[in-house]
Amino acid sequence: MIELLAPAGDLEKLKIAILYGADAVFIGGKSFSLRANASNFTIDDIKEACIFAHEHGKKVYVTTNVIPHEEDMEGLLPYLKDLESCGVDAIIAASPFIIQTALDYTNLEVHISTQQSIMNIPTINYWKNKGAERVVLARDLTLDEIENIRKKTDIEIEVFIHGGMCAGYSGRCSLSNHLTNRDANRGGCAHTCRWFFDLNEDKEKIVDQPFSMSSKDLNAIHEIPRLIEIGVNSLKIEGRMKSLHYIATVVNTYRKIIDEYLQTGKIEDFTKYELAMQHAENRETAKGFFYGLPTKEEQLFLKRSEKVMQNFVGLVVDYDTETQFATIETRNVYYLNEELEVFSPTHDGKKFVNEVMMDENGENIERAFKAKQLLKVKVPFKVYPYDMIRAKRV
Amino acid sequence: MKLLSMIHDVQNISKLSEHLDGFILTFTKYSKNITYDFTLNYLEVIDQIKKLNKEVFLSFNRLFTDFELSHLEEFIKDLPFDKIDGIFVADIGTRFIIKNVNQKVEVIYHPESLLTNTFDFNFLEPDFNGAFVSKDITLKDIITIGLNKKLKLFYTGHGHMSMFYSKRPILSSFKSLVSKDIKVKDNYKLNLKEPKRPNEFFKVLEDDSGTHVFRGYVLASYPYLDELEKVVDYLVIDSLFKDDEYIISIAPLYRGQKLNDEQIDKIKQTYNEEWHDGLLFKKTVIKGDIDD
Repeated sequence: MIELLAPAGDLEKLKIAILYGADAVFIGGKSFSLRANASNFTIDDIKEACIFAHEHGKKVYVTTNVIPHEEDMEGLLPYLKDLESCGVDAIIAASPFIIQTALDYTNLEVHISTQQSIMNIPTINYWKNKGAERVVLARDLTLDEIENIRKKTDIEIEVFIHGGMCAGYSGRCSLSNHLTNRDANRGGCAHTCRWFFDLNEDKEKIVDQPFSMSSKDLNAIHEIPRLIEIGVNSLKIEGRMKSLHYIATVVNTYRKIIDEYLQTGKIEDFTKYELAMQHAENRETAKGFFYGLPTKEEQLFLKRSEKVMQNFVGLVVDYDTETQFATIETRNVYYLNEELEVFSPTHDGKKFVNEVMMDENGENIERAFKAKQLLKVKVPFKVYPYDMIRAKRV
Repeated sequence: MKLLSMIHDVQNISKLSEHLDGFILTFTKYSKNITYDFTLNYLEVIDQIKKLNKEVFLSFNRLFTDFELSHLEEFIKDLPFDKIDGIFVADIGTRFIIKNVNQKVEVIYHPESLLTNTFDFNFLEPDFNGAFVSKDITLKDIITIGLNKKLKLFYTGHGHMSMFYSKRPILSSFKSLVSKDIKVKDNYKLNLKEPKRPNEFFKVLEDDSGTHVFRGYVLASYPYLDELEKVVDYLVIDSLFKDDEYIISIAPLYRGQKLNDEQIDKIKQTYNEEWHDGLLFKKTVIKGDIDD
């Protein structure tokens, strides 16, 4: 069965990812993980994450994907032992020190991170022979190249389908190290490739427009049937630092595509999935390397700022079937008499008009604007915890 | 410690050999960042170098797909392995393709940024005969790895440090976007300037292997020669963006010869470059404010 693998920056996002359709979630701990700015999980969080995931028949992978320096080596084995005792299903690692320690001293499954930029069968066999159960392929491969790899190896292969792309080979880039002193391979990447530069010949500026190496994000909605047919084991969504709503939307959209294809052997209409994804996309997307070398269409030369979507206005905490009042945690501004939509793993797209809205004191209010404030909102049909309330935003 | 560098003009091999212990040969289809394409004349050049009693290293330092590896495998079948002292690879898989063709040739792993600790360095033994320690770690870390090494340690000790390697033809894509008639492929004069770092012109190069970005400043590690010599088996002078005369000017510094300030200033002026320590004494951090 093909796996849909989602990112999560904290416990709430992990639960959302699972409820909205992920088969497995990858998270970062407090140690040995890239994305130092993601709100990484404590051991207690990881334990709770594993319990929640396993109760739902899902898996948890922990990224231990730094390339450590000499001073970073201490504490690895106790940390891996902790992960093992939490019930973590696998670690994702790039450094031989971490990989070998896990294989020698724990029963943790090891997946080789994309930081190793794995592009070919001999490299896959090398890691397989070392004891890896899975390799995450480099994002620099075409669909044909992925298919060729699948035909020639029986190791599990994981392929990125959505989210941010390194402009260069992952793990081999030290732009951030040299320009900002922040270590890209130890969790400090400053996304220097997304900065604007002047392009000069000798010292003369030759193009007025700023130059950037930035890549558009990856979006493989249309490629899911092919990837399923190829026999890829795991389809990975990037973005441990992304929002709750982004994760729910992207995961749920891919869940539906995968399920439709597995059930019917085809995708009737991609349009609805494209529209669904638009609720979450905040960077332009493209096909990466799937059809060959990227062109200007896959680069993000002109835009740097991310568009902030504000259509996710509340998270359902509870619902009283007798009174039909939902308790909703505010995430963005919304108004009395505004048409709202419920986005849910179970009943997507049901709409209602927000006719009654009260604060904690039972006072009627006309505007929800305090972050995380719990409000009572009349919803004329049953909603469930972790359902999301959306408003139309232009 | 042996000294290696590249070749820009085969006419200069004899002259260069007076300053170097060996040469690195590059190939348009299999190397990134070439100084000369030896695809058609490598047999004669290797013979010439061996007659001078110097070592020969071939650089197949791209990351390869399986299709590209099959091409490489065909190409290397004709190599005179008995005259080759080592092959540089950036991709682990390349090692196995090479060993399929010749078991004895030494393969050196050159992954730019990945070898940052002793364990990871020694993990490569016995699959590899040597490896390039990361250019992004401190001198102290290099020494620590070197004192505990189980395989030959290579270090790129001089040159414009590589920071970025992409398979994407980013400059060509940019040219297409701006519709301007500029030469972007194999144009060694191009550079990038970032507003907050106005004094450094980061070299940018698109070649057959993709797009590459380098430091504008030149790493010059010769002041720390005494320490490097204790652990480094091969020090490489990377002469990309330079010429053979540059190697001849620089190499004495790595043989322990002292050049006076005037001589050094002359080299810097001739090649319009500044020298610095790279990250030899500047430990990178994990979190924190961006270092402007």
